Amino acid sequence: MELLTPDLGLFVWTLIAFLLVFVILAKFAWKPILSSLNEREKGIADSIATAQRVKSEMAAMQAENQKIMAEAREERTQMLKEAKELKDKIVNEAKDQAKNEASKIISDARVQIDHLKMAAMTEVKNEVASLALQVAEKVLRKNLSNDAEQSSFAKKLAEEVSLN
Amino acid sequence: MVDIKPDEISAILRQQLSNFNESASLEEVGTVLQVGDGIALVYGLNSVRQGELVEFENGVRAIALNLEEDNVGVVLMGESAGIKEGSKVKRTGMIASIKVGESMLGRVVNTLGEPIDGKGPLAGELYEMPLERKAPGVLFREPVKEPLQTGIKAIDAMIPIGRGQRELVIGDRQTGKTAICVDTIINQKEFYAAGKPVYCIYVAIGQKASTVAGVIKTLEENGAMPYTTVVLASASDPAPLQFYAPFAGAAIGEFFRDTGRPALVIYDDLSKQAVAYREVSLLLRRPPGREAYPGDVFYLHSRLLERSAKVINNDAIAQTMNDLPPSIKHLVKGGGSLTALPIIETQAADVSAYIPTNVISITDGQIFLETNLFLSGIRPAINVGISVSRVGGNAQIKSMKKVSGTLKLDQALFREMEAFSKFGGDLDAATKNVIDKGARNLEILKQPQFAPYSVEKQVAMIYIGTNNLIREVPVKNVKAFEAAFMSEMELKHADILAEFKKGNLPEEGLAKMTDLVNKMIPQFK
Amino acid sequence: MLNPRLASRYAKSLIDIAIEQNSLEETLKDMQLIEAICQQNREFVAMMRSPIIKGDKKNAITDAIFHNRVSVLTIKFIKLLINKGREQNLDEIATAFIAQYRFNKKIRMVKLTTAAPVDSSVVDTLKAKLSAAFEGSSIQIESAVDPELLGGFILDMGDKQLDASVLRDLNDIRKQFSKNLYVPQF
Repeated sequence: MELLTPDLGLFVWTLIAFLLVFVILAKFAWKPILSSLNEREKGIADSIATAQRVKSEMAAMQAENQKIMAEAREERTQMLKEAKELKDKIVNEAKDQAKNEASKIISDARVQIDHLKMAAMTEVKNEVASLALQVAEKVLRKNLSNDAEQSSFAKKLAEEVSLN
Repeated sequence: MVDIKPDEISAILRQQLSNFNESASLEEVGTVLQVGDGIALVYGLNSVRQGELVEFENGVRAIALNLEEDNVGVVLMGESAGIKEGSKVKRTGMIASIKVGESMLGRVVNTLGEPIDGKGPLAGELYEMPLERKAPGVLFREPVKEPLQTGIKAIDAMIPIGRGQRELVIGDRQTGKTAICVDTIINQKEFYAAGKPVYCIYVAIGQKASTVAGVIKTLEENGAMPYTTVVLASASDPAPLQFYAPFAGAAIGEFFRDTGRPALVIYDDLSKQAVAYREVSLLLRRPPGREAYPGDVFYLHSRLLERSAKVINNDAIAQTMNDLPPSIKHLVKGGGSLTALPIIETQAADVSAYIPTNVISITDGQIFLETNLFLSGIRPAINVGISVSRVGGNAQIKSMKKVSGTLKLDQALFREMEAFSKFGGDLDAATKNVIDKGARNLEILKQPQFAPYSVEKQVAMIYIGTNNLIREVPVKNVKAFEAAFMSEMELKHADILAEFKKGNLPEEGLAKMTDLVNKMIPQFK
Repeated sequence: MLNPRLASRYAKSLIDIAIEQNSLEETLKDMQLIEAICQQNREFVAMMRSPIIKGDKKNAITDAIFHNRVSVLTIKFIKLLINKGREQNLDEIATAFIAQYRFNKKIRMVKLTTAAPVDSSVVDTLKAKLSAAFEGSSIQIESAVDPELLGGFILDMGDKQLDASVLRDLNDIRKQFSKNLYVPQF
């Protein structure tokens, strides 16, 4: 029974040792342990909150992204449309220009031909006129070959002229 | 299209022969005493008038210039071959004049107004205009107030030309004098397209025919011929034709001026004309003066340039104008103008020679072109410091006037500072700022040939320059920026340009433009 | 070269002195003789114009030609011309003298050139017209023939002329067909 019934001295010493240990622990270990525990608890709570916030932010961002995407798409169509319009305009302009150019070339050529034709015609006209004049000169020379005719012609002229 | 009809020719012949002998009438004649060097001395022609046309037996015409006690000195307007001592000379009774009409547009004519471009006779109604005519008197004039857009930024911004002004273009050979004038003609296309054409007359005096052919081709390619007449007296033409050519150009211009329309005449160039006049004068034995020019060479140019005028905008007064030729009396309207751009070629940049000083003093300002500027890549090679326009300022549109107000001073300051900065050394911030801005403005004012700028674009570009909006764009990128900016403006802000053109400078338009510039700058850094 | 100013000055002085000496008609005849000689004899003109032949030689020659044929005044005048070195203008001076004489006497010389010799009725018609046109002066007609004219006539009245010849008409027509404006000329 001795084994079961604690000896007072042992009891006292054990109590003293226990108290000593308790006091020492209470004095030095209790606070750090408690604060670390607290910290850990807070950290966990924080991370959970962060995770939640990130999640919501992600959602917002996704919405934003979608909006931007939509805008970009719209812009793209706009740009495409503009480019198409520009292309059409350029093509049309080029077409018009080409058409104008072509018609100008044609009309220029026509004018050129016209001029050449007129040049040739004038040349012929001058040539024919000079021939005709030569003939006329010969005819006149013949008609006026004798002095009597010359005289009568000169007389006719002399009567016609006015000296004022 | 006309076909060759034999009866047409015979019709002409018949018509000619029918009034056979009716032309025989009393004529005043003289006898050639001496002929040579394009001059003939004639005995007789007792009542011939100074400046009257006379005709030789072979059809060559001449102008009586020297009336002396017992002989008359005439200058031949054609070949002197076939005229010999004893040849008869007839009076025509006409003071030297040319026939002018609308159909002259797009044509090349000689000093006598005859077409020489091979496009056939002049169509439509023609009116007789004298070569020598007194300038309109003070009563019939108005101050210069409408702009004549040259399409060249440097000129329209700093040396503006008004309708009715006489602005001399002066410089050495190969400095781009003709280029400026041709660009000015091309720029009038805008007005032709808008239905308010400025009729242009380009008078080529004593130039190589090939050079003139080049100019005509340029005008044709740029669509400028429909409102342009070219008067040509090439180097191979007799001296009298050369020195009368500007008078023919002025006569054509006066036709448009007196019928109430704006006209622009370019005399390219008057130094050659003076040389031709000197030749004729010396041959007529008139006493030579300074540089062997005759005493009246100043009067030669002053009476020619005085014919440029802005006619009063009042039909009733304009119709009473002095010395109106009878042929156009019924067509006279007020409000027309004749602007003259005479060109003078200097030798080794000597502007104090006789003819340059004369013409400088006659004209309302001058545009100096310099070889060293031209060679350093500043084209048009205008020396802004000594170029002036004495009357053009009133003719600028309001927006341009506001925008370009400080440009000329800025550029002068820049030149001064630039010269300093060449000595090296550190520059203070203010100086550096002036130099940076000036260099960019210089770049903006450069302009290639045949690329005239409309006035609204000029306003936009010069606004950017004078407000130093592109200080962050490196100088070498300014041209690229300008091209891109102009196409953007045209595409997106045509309304702002339209406002500029009207002469307005709206705040919000300027703000929009500034935004556009700021947006574009990063691409050109 | 012709020198009308010189010729008229010498002619005027000769006329003045002739009037003074009352030998106008005589001098006129001399001058007509000189003009005729100059027109017919080219050698004489050539001699007078030659700068190589000396003045005294010319003096001797003119003496030989004109001695006893012309008046003393004319001889003196020719000598004066030779002394002044103006002998090459002798023919011109003679012509000018005659012209001035006619002017003083109000005689109008009219040269009538025709293609062939014409009868007097033509000349008379023209003379009548001319007298009417130039009142107060007597008309003298000098006739010449030039077959080149083809027909018609030319009336030459000094500084006025009336060309009614066929040649002129033909030339007028010819001129109208000489140009081709459809060929560029530069």
